[in-house]
Amino acid sequence: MHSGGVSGDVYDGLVIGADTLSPDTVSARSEMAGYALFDLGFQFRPNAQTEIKALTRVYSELDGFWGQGINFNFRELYVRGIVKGKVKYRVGDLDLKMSKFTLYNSNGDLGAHDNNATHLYEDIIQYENFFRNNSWRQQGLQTSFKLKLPGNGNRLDVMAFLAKNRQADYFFTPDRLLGGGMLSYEKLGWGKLDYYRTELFEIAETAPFSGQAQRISTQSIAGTLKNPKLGRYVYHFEAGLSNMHYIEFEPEPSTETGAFFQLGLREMAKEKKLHYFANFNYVESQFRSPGAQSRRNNFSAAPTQFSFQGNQENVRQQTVFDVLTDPTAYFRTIDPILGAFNPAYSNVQPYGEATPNRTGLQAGFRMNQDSSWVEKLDAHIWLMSEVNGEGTDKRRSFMRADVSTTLNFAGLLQTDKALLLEAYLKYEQTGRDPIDSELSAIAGIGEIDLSSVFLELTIAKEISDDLFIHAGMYLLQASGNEYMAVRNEFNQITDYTEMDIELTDRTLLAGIKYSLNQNNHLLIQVRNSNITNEQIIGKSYSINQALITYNLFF
Amino acid sequence: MKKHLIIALSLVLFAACTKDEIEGPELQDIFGEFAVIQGLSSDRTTVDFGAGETVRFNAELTIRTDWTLHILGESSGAKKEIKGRERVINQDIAKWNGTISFAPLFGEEDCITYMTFENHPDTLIGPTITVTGVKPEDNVDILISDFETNTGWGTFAEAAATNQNVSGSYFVQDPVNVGQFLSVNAPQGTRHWRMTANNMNSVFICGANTTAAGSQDSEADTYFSIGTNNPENVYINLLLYGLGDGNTRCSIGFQEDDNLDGIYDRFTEGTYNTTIAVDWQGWKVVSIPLSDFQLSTVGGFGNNDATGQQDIGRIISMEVLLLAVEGTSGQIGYGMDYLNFTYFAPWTP
Repeated sequence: MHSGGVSGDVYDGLVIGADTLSPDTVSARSEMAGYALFDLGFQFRPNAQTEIKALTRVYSELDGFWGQGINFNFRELYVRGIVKGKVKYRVGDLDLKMSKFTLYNSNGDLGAHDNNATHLYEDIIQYENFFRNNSWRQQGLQTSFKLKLPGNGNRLDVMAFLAKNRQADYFFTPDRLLGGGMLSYEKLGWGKLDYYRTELFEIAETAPFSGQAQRISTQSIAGTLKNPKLGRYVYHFEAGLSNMHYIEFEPEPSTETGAFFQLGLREMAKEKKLHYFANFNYVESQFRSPGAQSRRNNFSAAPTQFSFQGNQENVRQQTVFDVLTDPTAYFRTIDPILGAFNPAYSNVQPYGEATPNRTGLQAGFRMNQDSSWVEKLDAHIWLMSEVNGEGTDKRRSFMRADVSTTLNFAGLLQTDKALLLEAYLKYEQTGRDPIDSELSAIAGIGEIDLSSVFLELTIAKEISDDLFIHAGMYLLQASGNEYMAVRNEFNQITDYTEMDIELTDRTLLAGIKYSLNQNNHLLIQVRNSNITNEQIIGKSYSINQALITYNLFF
Repeated sequence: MKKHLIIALSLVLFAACTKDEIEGPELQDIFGEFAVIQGLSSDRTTVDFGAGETVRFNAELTIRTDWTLHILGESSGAKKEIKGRERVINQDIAKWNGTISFAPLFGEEDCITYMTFENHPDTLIGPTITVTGVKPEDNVDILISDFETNTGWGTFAEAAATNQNVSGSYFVQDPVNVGQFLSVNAPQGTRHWRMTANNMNSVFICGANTTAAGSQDSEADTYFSIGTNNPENVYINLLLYGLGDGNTRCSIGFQEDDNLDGIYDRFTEGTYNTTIAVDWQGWKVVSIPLSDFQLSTVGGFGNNDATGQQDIGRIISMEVLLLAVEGTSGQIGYGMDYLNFTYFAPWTP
């Protein structure tokens, strides 16, 4: 038996700026919250072919004196093994992932945050929500095996799974299952050819008072071609289609079929420090792939801290810092409905690469350790447009540019203590022309001009071995307007909400982080956030916060 | 590198070839202001329907909205309504061939025309149309009853109600204009059927029924002589008088002799019915395809269908019920006349 786990102790002390909430006479101006948790994992190996893993959790709120508020539960449980040394299986909790168009848990709207100041929060969010390696956590059965084929190194990989995606209520809501798998043929020295399929389907008989069910099928073929004879490039493509079926719906929604394809290349020379790539995407507006289009960010969730705001006790809109630090601000499972999103945070591909109704180019490069002080430099640009106009024959055009870099000035300053400047910049621009008309009653309708910029900028200085002080700024600024589509349960657009966006969300923070080792960190941080948002009551407010996080993986 | 550039340019060109289809409702209809681009006009002001002529109307709006084109006979009081939701109303959409929506029939007379909108207070006034020749009578395929003979119909009631074949005109309280009375005349012939009630405390008020054999279907023996078993191709039509109260419901049911023994058993054989919300005032032409009728959901009253399907060739009898919205008080009711079946298309008098 082996055991492993994680323990964490988080203490938050928060002060909200009273002077900026003058119309609000109800909300508390200060909150204190925190928790301690201990995850203990057990691995049993009853025989050489079988492994059982169980992860237990003890969780205690800061106020859970003498056992009150303490929860015990199983966080993870599965059995896995191998039959006859050939066929692998896993029963229980599964981590499922295939291609970016069929089954893929795309990063959040603000990207992945691996800088010194917030990397720990990102780790906690990923751990708490099982987002590891862009996979979806589901429960069910998975099996896989490999076949050696004639020819040196040629092989066929087979994987299949069946998971329960939703529990029936035994009246009107049926069970929903997620099934699928992949076939992957690899020819050594040439590349791979893959077939992916997912089926999200409901069992009508499990809801006797409804009898209704829907099914969404998604399948694709993907290929990767890499051979030194073809130069230093790796070519890849993926193309597929989706179908939606409805049973016993009155009136019956139209059955829609959608398709997509992606073509791309990347450079494969591993010895070079500069790598670049380019992709072309075409995704029809009817293409549906719940496994790849389900969103992580759940903007309708109330933030854990200062959940309500105003005398009407409205749910406080999430801020950038909530998104960066609050694990409850995320969806954990696959949903057939295209979820709502906030265009101030992400408007170009809010549903990942499989975002429907998008076509265009993506290109970028990555530079690793180019000089003594440039540790990393990534740049990525999207130039896209809609395939169909939404409510008008004019189509949106999109531009997004991402740049991230890590600079270490230790060499320039001739010191062995790191001095890191970490920056991430995301810029998005959305535009659409208005309806062509000389009539004043409709002139100007449909015009969109929205831009947003998100900046992470942190400076970290190593004071002594493994002890860093850091300061940073997080800024989200969005300005313009959008027409947000309102969709029904069949993902059909039924209406639009006109949004005028004027948002400035700025956080300044400073802290100290001590790493006892790679898996053991203590972080003490203070921050000040100022939010100005035309869409909320009171328009602006500020939050001051002090955080202590202790984290140990073992 | 050159071939990559060629591929990239090809893809950019492909991206430009996007679809012209618009997804979702049009923004112009949701966010645009209502305005009239072109007023209501017609392609003629004199029409002879007897010669097969029609009147075609045109108008153009800034947004798509629910509209109703009204045509009102100045002498007869006959009314025709054409409804739509188009932005550009043209001759294919708004065409009048002399039919009515509300009885009586149009005569040789002047007709005023105007258009109203459900969500906007505006009214577009159109030209006056002079009818020089009326539309030929539209024949029905099977006449169920014109109530002129006063035979064949039985009655049953839950609450105190007037439920009878009436001759000539009668007065009934006007629920819309309180304190006034409506004078109701038969729209066809001199007699029609009346079901009215006042101050009731019930959902089901009363009903009337007839067997196929007792109806005016001259070809019927035990069953109505419907010549097809496809309910999509058969329409039940009638003239239905509404008081304008908004609480009246008319339920029509067809009872099937599923085992063909000549008797309808309400416990084991099916009744297919539909309910009409009688929310207008006056005589209106109502047409419903039999495929819109659903198996009864009332236990012991035709909710079991022995064959498991709608069999319109086995309709042995029909019933018409007066229902009230739950909690209703005051005057409710309707009149009905000229019940008939037509094949393939609704009856258009």
